Order: sequence, then structure tokens, then C-alpha cells
Amino acid sequence: MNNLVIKRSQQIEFRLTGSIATGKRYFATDIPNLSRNNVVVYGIEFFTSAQETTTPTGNTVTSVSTGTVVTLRDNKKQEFMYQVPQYTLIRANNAGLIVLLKPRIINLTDCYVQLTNTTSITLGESVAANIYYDLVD
Amino acid sequence: MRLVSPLIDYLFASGKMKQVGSYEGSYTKSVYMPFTATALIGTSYYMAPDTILNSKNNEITAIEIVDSLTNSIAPTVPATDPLSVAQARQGYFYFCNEKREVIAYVPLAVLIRRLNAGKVQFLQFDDPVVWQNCFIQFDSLGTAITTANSVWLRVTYSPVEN
Repeated sequence: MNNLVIKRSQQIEFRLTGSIATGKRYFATDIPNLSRNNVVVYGIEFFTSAQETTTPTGNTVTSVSTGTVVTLRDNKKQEFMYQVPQYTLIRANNAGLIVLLKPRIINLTDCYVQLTNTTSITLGESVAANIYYDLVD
Repeated sequence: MRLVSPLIDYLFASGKMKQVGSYEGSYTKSVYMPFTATALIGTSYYMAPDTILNSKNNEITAIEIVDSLTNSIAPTVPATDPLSVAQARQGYFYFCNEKREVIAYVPLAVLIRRLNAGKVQFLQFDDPVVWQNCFIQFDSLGTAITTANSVWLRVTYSPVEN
């Protein structure tokens, strides 16, 4: 059994703004140093308020993960990880293992989450995650 | 016979992956960060200088937060209470290099080993981490952290091969 080693990591978040609705796409917020197609992501981990209550930007983290799916897009707009349940990307639900990805350049602000169930989700909260990455040479 | 896919091979070779039960590092030590006043949101609590961990001769290879269920009292003077999970989930650990650039940051709660089914968090930074430039920051404090608490970190490190 193998687990991920941190080389570089940074928090990303998907802010639930506008209205709360199933199917709507909530895109990752822009982080200038990660949004220039300049990072190769090799692992991702999601959180709920059980792991962190507030994001570093001050937004409340959602308390449930069972009604959210995650889609990651690469720099060619390909949805290489499509509608994966957020629950399965939480480390504590995987015996402490972090989900490894085939290393890819991601287009951060093209990545999004969708709600499949809005119970216990409040407008303005954030779906929080950590990406593990290397910089593009 | 053990089959290794090219992807797994690549992740191993580039230091992005390790076997969970594998060698953590040559040495390990506990580091304690007591609070001199009640913790505040947004304040950077820097690690105390540590001659071993600051040294360019050692690299940090793994880190773990010891919480109050793992060990109820931290052996600080005076004795303090390690963070509970509720307290830990309010903060982050920031790893910084010599130029104080943040290389990585991770929620404190996910570094608690027992919550990860015994798996420690491995680290391998291309840029050497300077321990006294690393800090902890809290972004919410609904569960107060007082002078009765301390952050207990178990850090594993190895000598750098020159």
C-alpha cells in the first residue's frame, strides 16, 4: 500500500455563491499563483468541517460531503476526473490514504463541484480541498 | 513477482509516493509549541528555533500532530494539554523555506495519525524547510485555545546526504 508524499500543497476552495441548487457548477476560486496552468497536480484531498472549520480565506467549510461531486479539468479542458463523490476524496474515509492522480496540468478555475443534495448546505460556504502538486518546468 | 505500473514507478522515482509502512526517517523528535496567551485568529505562531530541524544538514521527512486522545498531557514545563481534534480543525501548519515562502500548508487535524488509520504524513521538499520560518495559524476559534494548551508535533528527519 502506498501513500502520497507532500512536495508542495495549497488549499483550494469552491465557494457556493449565487444560489444553492443541485446540478449548478460552483467553480474553484481564482488563486493567482495556481491559475496560470502552471501546476501539475498528483494528489487531491477534500475536507469537511470535521477536518477544518474555516478556510484560510475565512469562509465556513461545508459540514457534509455526501451530496457533492467533484470535477477536475486539465489545461485542454478535458474533464479527466468527472463527478467523483467528495466523500471518497476525504482522507479519513480512505483509511488515511490520499487519492493519487496521474500527474496533470490543471486549469484550476475550470474545475468545479456540483451539489446532488442541498441538505445542510448553506449559501456562502466553501467546499475545501488541498491539492498536492509540482510546478511546471 | 510484483507488478509495477509505469505511473506508480514514476511516482516512486520522483518522490511523490511512498509505501505507507516504509521507513519514515533516521531520527524523530517531539516539538512543543505552548501558547503564552489565548490564541487569536490570523496570528502566525512561529516554531521556536531548533538547532537540529533548522539545519541544512537535516531534511524533514514526516510530521504528525499528537492530539489529546493520543497523549493526554504534553511533557512541557509546566505541563500542558495537547490540542483536541475540535481545536486542531481550526488551524493550519505552514511549511516555509529560507525565504519565508510558503511551500505547503495542511490542516492540523489531518496530521493526526490515529485519524488516518495510523498513516503518518510523509514530506519531501526540494526546497529545504527552515523550521523557525514554519508557523501555525488559526482561521476560526469557536473552541478556544488557551495557555493551558500546546501544539505537540512529532517530526521525523534524516541527515542530508552531501
